[in-house]
Amino acid sequence: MAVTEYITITTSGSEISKKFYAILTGYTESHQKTQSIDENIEGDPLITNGGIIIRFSYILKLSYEMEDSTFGTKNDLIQMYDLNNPNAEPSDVLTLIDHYGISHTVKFEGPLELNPLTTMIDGEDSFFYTPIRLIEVIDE
Amino acid sequence: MSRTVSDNLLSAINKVSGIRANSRLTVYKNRNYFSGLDSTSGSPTYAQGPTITDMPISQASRYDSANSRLYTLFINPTTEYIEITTTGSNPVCELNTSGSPLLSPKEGKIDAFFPYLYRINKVGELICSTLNMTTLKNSFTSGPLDCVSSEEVIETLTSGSPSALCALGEKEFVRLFIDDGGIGIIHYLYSGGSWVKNTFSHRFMIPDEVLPDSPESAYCLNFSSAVKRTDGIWIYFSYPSGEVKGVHINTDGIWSDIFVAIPKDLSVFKIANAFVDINERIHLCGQFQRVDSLDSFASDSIWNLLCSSDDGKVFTLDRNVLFSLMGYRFSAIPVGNNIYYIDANRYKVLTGTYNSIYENTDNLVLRKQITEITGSADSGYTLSIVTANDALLDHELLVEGNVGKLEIGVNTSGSEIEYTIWDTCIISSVTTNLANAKRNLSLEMISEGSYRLQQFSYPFYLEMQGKQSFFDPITDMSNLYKAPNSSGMKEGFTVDFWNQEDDFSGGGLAPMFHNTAGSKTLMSGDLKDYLYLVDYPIIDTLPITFKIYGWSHIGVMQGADYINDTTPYTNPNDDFIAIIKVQHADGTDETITLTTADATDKSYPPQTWKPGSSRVDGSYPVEYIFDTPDGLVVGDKILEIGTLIQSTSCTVFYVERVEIPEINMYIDPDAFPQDSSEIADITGYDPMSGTTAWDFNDGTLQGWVEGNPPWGNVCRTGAAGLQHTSSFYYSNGGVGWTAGGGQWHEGDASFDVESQGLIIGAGVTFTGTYYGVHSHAGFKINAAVECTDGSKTWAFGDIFSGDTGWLSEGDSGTFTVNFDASFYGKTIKRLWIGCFGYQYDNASNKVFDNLSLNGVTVPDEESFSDVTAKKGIIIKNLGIPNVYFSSKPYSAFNFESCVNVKILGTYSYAGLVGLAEDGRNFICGRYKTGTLQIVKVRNGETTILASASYTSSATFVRIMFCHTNGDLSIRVMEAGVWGAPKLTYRWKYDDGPMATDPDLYHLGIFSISDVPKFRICSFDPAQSTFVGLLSGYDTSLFEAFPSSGTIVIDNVIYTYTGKTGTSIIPRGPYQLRCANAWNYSSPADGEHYSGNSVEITYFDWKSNPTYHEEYQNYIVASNAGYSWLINEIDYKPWITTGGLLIYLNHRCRIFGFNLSLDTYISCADKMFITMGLTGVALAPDQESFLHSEGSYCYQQEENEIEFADYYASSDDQDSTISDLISKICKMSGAKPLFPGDKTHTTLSLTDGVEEVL
Repeated sequence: MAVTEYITITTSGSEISKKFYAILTGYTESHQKTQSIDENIEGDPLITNGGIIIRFSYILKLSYEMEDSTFGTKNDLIQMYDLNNPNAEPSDVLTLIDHYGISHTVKFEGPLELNPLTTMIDGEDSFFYTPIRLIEVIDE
Repeated sequence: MSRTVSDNLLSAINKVSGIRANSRLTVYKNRNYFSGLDSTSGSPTYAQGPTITDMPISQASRYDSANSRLYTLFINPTTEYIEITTTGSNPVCELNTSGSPLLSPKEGKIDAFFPYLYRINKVGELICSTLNMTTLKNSFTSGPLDCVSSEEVIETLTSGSPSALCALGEKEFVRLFIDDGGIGIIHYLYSGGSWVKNTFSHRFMIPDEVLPDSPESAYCLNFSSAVKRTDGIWIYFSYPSGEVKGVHINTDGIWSDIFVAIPKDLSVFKIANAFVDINERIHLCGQFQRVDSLDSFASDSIWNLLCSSDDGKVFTLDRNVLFSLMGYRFSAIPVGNNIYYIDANRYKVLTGTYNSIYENTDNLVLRKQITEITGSADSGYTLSIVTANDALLDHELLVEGNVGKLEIGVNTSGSEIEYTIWDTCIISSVTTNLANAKRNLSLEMISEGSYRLQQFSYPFYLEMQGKQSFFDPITDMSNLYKAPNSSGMKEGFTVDFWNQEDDFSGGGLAPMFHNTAGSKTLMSGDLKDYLYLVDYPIIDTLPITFKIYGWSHIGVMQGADYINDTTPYTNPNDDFIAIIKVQHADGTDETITLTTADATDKSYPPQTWKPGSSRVDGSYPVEYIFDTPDGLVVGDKILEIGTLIQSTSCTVFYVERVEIPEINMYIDPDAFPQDSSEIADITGYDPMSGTTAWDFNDGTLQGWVEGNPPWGNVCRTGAAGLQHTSSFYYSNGGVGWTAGGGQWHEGDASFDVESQGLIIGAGVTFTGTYYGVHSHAGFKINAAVECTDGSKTWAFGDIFSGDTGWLSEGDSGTFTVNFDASFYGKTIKRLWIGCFGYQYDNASNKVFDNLSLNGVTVPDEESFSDVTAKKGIIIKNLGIPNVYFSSKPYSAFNFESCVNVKILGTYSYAGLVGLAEDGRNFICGRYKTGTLQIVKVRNGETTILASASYTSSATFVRIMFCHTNGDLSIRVMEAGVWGAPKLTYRWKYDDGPMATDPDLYHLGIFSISDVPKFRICSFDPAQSTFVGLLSGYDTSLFEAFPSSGTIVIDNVIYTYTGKTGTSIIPRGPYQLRCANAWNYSSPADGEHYSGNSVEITYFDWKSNPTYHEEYQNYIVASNAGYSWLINEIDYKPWITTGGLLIYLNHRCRIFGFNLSLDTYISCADKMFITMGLTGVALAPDQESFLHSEGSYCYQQEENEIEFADYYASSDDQDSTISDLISKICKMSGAKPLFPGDKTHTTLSLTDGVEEVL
């Protein structure tokens, strides 16, 4: 299977489509099963399963500027993160193409924290380690 | 709530180590519903659609377990062949026996209990056919199917064929049949080698309908069914009016009363079939439809219901009984755990519900899914359920209305869980809680009873009535009230034309004329107002005869002489043509005018004015016949009548009146100044009078009760009460005792008066004879009267004087114990007789014997009436039917009622009414001296149904009138005892419906003093001594008046000394024209007249010498109070004007005896030539009074009707509140329990002894 060294995040109308590097230890794909556990009147468990929640957690290595414009910058990511209106164009739904080239419909989950790794916080040599969490959603 | 808990369970619960409890819920299907069929093939071509029809085809679906087939038998409505088919695509086959088809009248109902088929053939033979079930097992082919092994004729019916036959078992069925207007029932059972019949002594009677004994009537019998279970046979029938009624035969063969199984509520329920399930619950399957005569709530929808009953009497009508809206006449046939809903071999099969197959129905067990149960038996339960696999979310059994059996389980040993039923409930709601990873259900369950009662509704009207019994002492009118729409005074129809003032001349209705060809229509005006009727006369029979009284002649008014009257004698006088204006039942009015061709004889009156006229042969009266083709219908109301008078000639005419003898009219009693009744002291209250009431010579006690020991005999030594074994006896013509030597004895006996009927405020006298033997110190006789206030007074006989006067051996004679007028104001409870004495002789001797109580007299009359009195209703009016309804029972179809009434007078009737709608429609049991009668009154017209001779010696007669499902009876209490009925009557078809209202059946009392009477022209004793009979009215009762006597008019009493003849037809009314004195010989025919005269508009140009005394000694009477005795009449009165002789050819001149010209007369006065009473004068102490036209003159005779008390009871079962609650609960499907109740199979009550229940 062909893999890539980046992921690609694209807005719903393809207004923005950027690649991002994730550091090696900084990406995780998690599958979470939702379920409730009740006890029946005899004390036996009654387990009711719900849906499977798929999350993609990355720590992106961002720069203030990128020489290769196909790669996203810090501001590109912020711009995509700030998409908040599900009924606007683009909406808050994004398309994630993971390292395997598999496409997922996702939304951002949790905070977006841009942690500078360098004293230079602008220019091409400025880097930010930025953890993001994307959660797979129904393509609405 | 108690539950059955096993020993194992108790052991487990009591284990110290604890238990592990669990629970489970089993949900059962509780309702079937379908909207489509599994199969429609194999249905006969004559199968009926989804409707309730008055002509259902006869069909019976029965399952044969040996053949595993469900068969349906039919009567082909065209060929009347009995045909059979079975479920599936099978043809319909004709049942044959030896090549001949089985036949049965198509209107009846056949039934089968395989292999037996019950039918009636075309010649009325009731037959039990045995079918060859092997043949029936084979595949069907169309055409004849020869499968009858044998046939047995049970009986040949003489009536009641066709019938409905309802199979109960092998050679057992019931037959419903038309029985003289009602529906009779017979149970047939083959037993001991023969068929045994058990006939219901009463009938299903439809209150407002009688069924003719015609084949068409039998169609309704198809809506019937019967089942048998261990407690007997239950038979149900759908009344045409909507409700289902039933009757039960218990295992002893005793028939129950008729009961309501399914009440109506603007609805009809038409039975298709009934069956009994494994738990002996009876199920009744049928069609239900909303009906409403006003169409406000009627619906075309037909609901198919399967109702059930545990007690067989009350069926459920809860929401779960609906199984389809398809509307076919489905029968429900249980086959194993399935139920076939089948009509004409079209069917749907479903598993039975919990209601019929209980836990064998579809079910769902929930155990592991339950997370929580909360609640209680009272408030219901909430079950929380998790359905992890979603399977329960849309489970067909987890729906409202299904039954849930909640069980608690405990591990008893090993892994065994033993369950005990905690409660059986109904799912009242299902709540779903869906979330991610949550699939929760919440079941709300309430007890079955609570659920059904909450859902139960009778949307329009439901009234639960227990037995209503009421005793009315009639001391006031708080219970009885006058029946509405009272009957009034019945008279034959007659009316004049004096209501139309537009036609008046000179203040009254004068002769009219037309000088050329012409016509005139005279109308009576509104009959009800003019004649003071209670309602418009009703045409209750057709045809009717319309009689027009009047005269008409050709020529001009007041012609000088017929010779000088130039009118050709060949000209026709007027034709009188009948006109009637009626109101039809639909409220429309119609005026019908006949033609001269419709006259039964001549259409004109005699034409006497011009000799030679061919019309001298005219009719008086002119008669017409009205019949159905003329547009009249029975039930029409006559609003007005009229006469069309027409001729092509000049004429003079006058119409007196019209009579229709077939029609009755009823005069409003309020038009007369008569008081109907009053509450007052009644007189002669002596219900127990009689001097030989208890003569012991026959050796019986006749209602007297011995003491204990016999006659309360106490034998003492000294002052102590040492009992002796002697006996007091009453045989050998008296009472007495034997005793041991030297002992004191005393004894008594009592007679219960209170239970026999009240004696209020009377004195009592005992009389008897005695004969004493072997008395040492003598003996005495005493008596006592015990009253309801607790008082008990003893007194010695008159032969004793204090402590002296003891009777000794050999003494004999009579004695009297008198309580003269001692108990006024009290109610006597019990009479006592006692004797006591002392003797020392040996045991074989008697103290005395032959004490004979000859009688007890309760005196009355004057000695009673002037002291504290019993009040009651005293009827005061004459000739008017008096009907008073009782407030309680308000309505009862079957009833028992009783009245205590004094009836004196030859013409006085009194009794009891029942099934009454108003004062003009009821049935009545009544008595007058010499006669008991059961009568039917419809629109005021009385028809005697049955009568018997009977005379009571008591002043007050206690009469009982009973009705039970078409059987009427009258009893009379004699000597305090109700004996066998004196008169019975079984209602017949020819009698018509029993009640005129479908829902209201009032009870009450009735009376009439129907003395001879007649209506008078008028009477003023200050002006006249003659009372004339009003023309047009019945003269027959006048003929019953004696030649002299006493009369009553408007409550004023008169005497009279004579009466006229009765051989004339009273004439009039005419108009009075003038009064004069004359002395002349008639210029026309020489007859001489002299004296005072009046002229009235009666014209008849006939020979005076021949006819001048035709009405001599009859009465010419006015409606203004005056009247005279007629001497003679000048039929050709004349005057001269300017010397010219003028004949007054529109009147006659009447010369009277003692006719006074001082009498104030007017042309506004009506005049009559009539019969009547003469020498009429005020009775002493009476005041003069002007009695107007139409007042009634009654023959005065001793007559009294006084009602002392009244009692009535409906036949409904005696009900407590719990009974009524129980009935409501059962209708809703709930099972009521009254755990605190105590049921006594038998309980003997002792008077005065409190019984703690």
